[in-house]
Amino acid sequence: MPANRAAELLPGTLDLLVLRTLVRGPMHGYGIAQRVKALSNEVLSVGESSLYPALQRLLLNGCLAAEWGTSDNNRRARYYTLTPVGRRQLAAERKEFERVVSAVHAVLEFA
Amino acid sequence: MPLLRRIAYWLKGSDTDLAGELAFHRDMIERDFVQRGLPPDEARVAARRAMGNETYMREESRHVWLWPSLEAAWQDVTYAARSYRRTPVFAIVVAVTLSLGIAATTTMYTIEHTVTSVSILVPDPGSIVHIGQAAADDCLACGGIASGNYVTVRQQARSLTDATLIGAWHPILRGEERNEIANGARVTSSFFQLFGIRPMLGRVLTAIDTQPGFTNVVVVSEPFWRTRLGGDSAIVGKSIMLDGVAHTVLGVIARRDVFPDGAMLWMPYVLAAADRANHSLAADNAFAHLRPGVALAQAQSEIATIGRRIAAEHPSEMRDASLGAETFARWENPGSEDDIPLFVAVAAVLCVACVNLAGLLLARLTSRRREIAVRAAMGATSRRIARQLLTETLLVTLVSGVIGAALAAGGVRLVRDAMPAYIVDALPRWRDMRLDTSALFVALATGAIAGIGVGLWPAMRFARSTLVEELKSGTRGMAGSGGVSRLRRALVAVEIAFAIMLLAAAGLLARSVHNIRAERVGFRADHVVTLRVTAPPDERGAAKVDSSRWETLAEGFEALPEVVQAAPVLGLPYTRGVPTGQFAIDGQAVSRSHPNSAQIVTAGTDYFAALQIPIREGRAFHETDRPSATRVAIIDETLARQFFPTGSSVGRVLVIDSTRWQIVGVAADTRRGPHGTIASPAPGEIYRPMMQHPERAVQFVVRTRGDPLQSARDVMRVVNGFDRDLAVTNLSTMDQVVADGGAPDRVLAGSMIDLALAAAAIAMIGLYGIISYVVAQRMREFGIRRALGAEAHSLVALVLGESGRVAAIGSALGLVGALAAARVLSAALVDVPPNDPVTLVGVIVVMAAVSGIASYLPARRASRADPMLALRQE
Repeated sequence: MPANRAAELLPGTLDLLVLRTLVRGPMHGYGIAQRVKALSNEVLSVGESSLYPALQRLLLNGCLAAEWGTSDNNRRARYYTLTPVGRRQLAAERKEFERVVSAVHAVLEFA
Repeated sequence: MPLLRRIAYWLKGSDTDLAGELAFHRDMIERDFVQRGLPPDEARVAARRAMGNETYMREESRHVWLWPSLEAAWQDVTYAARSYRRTPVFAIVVAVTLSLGIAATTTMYTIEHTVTSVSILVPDPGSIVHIGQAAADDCLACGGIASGNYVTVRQQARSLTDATLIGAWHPILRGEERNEIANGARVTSSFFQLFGIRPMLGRVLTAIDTQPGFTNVVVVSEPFWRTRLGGDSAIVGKSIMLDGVAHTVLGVIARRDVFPDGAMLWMPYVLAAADRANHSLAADNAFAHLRPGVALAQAQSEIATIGRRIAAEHPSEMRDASLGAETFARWENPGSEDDIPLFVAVAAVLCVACVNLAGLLLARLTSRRREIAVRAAMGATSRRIARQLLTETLLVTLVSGVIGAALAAGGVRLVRDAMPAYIVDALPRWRDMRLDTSALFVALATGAIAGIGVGLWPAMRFARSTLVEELKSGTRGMAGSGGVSRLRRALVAVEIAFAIMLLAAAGLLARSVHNIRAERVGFRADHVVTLRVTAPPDERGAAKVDSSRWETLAEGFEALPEVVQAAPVLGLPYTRGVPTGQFAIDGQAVSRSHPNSAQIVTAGTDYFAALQIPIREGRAFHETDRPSATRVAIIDETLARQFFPTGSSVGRVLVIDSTRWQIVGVAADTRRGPHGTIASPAPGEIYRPMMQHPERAVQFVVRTRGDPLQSARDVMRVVNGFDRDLAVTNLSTMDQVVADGGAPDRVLAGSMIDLALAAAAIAMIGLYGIISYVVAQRMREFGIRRALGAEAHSLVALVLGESGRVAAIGSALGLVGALAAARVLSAALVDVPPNDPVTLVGVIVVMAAVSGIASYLPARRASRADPMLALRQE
């Protein structure tokens, strides 16, 4: 059992996290899940059942491109790359997220 | 999301990509577990557990790029195909019956449509109107129009443009061996413009050609040009001899543009003073364009107003006649009442096919209630189940449609090629007959709708029904709950009823056709040569001929040694165009609403002797009935019975067109044609002597001692020796004329029989399908019955009894329907009472045998139920 209880993802943030993770370079699905987990200090956990549909959706919207490649342990894996459309999408979503978070924060700070 | 991108994505095989990706993911997790120290076996299990439901995940991912509905539809189709593969008998029965129904109805409709549509394709038939003249309470514009009335309408009607008048024209065409009658039309100058007809060679008639002195010009049809003029490309400007006068050919009209139907020649119609003053003889047809923006109703009311004005000005000539207009399309195909029986039969066969489909689907659905309940329990929504059922129906309809269309196409070709030439000649579109796709579509749609209706009803029911109860009811009650099985039986009964109705109608028509034989027509048709002789119009253009000319020619025939008698006649039985006229009886009041009408035959002196028509009272015509003598007439027994039920008719006076004709005799009834029409049974006949009412074109009947065809050559020689300018057509024997006259009836009876057989076959297959299905469902019950000591024959009796009850109810219904149908047909029947017991009993026996056969095989299967099998399953 992990020490930290995994937190529920806020709705709409999965795409944002996936896109942000891929800014540093191409990565396969497992890698994305691992990286989100690691970067969030094991607070956020991306379930497979929501990760792959999200990847498909982003592929279809043109935010990502996919290509089969070889993983670090010499396995065939499917690598996702951020496209220019994806970068723009990331910027927009990030801005929106920050706007919402600061708004929530403002409400919480009140009193 | 663009559809193409989704499809492209799907085609790229992203499903396998996804599977590989997930496998990789699982392997990585497994590696993590191994690294944490788990044994490899446990690591694999743990990884699977961590991944959760992979199939679900894949489906979810797939839904991103493929609509769930699209995928589900494909699933439905494969599922339906699989379920039909599991029950091939059901699938075959449904496909065979439905395709048979679709094929039969489409073929018959195609034939019917071909027979009734006769005209050219007008660019905008809705904007062309036909202007006609008719008796007060008659179909307003079905008839022709008097030329004088056309002139008035053309001058006064504001709602019309390009009005044109078409008159019949039958010039005699001089041939190498014998002269022929050509079929032509006299048309006013706007004719070709109105119908949008362009010449394929030369030019068409224009206003210049209607100027007096320029009228000996003619436009010919492509078939005429090819067959009679040798397809001469330099024909324009050359002359052909028509009615003994040279006519210059102006142009050639392509085959597809020929109008009126069958026309070979068009000449200018110049309206003389007499034509302009004619308000009573409605011999021509008038057409016009509606002025743009004018509604049909406006034009109709304007024309009716003009008609009333003319009637007020010329009361004696117009009498009760009025003017009216209708669209070209309606005029072209006013919906002949005689076609109704066939249309009803076509609809009935389609009904049988649909009812059959409904019954079969229902039988199948009842047995699938458990399956449906299970699917519902597994989480299928009622919409999903309904869609599944619909897909199954549509699949089978589609397959049947393809088979049915192929059958229909073959059937149409078969009928087209098998039709005797003399019938084909009368049907202009026959040779180009093609499968009617709109009819096919209607048949398909009707089948699909019937299937959907039946498919939806139980689906909706199951959607509401309590799942648990369906599941609890287990495998029992498979034969269906009360309501459903009652409905199913009712459907089969309806099928049988329809089949009996159609069989009865077909049987009556077949017997009727059998009765149309030469010896039952009221005259002796054997040993008679008949020919039509037409004299050219004389110099003055009038149809006036020497009153004794035809009697002289008849004497010429009688001078031949092998000829017994010969006589001219206008209105020979079994020929078309027998004039019907109105008459009054001197001293009897005439009812205005029902004017007395009869077929008025003009007959030569020896006519009754030549055809051996007995004179019942008074005398036949004499040589003394000359133009100068008292005008005399002979009536037939029908009229004598109708108008002189008590006293003798001889000596009384008939008034026809304000001329008095004294009745001198009563002749036996003859059959005027194969039968009266459905709309109006044949009226009686009045005979007038040829010498007192001369005609330009007559038919001759020549009774010979030997083979009539052997005498034909001598008869022709006599005609040519008599007058080289006479045209002889329709040379035949009277036997042949009678046989040909019955041909349309044989076509009707044949079509009816085909349809009835199709209906009977569908009903039989349907009954077989349903009974065997029910038997299959009840096999367990039969097994138990066997186990409890039931004899095999008693099980057969059980099944047969069940189907027998259904058949009996169906037969009773069918009998009622058959009697109703026969009443409708009665006017078309010859010497067969509508409630003919032979036919009705025969049909019932046939249908009983058919249902017996249909249910015997499943019944035998029931009797062979294996008790052990049944008990083991329990």
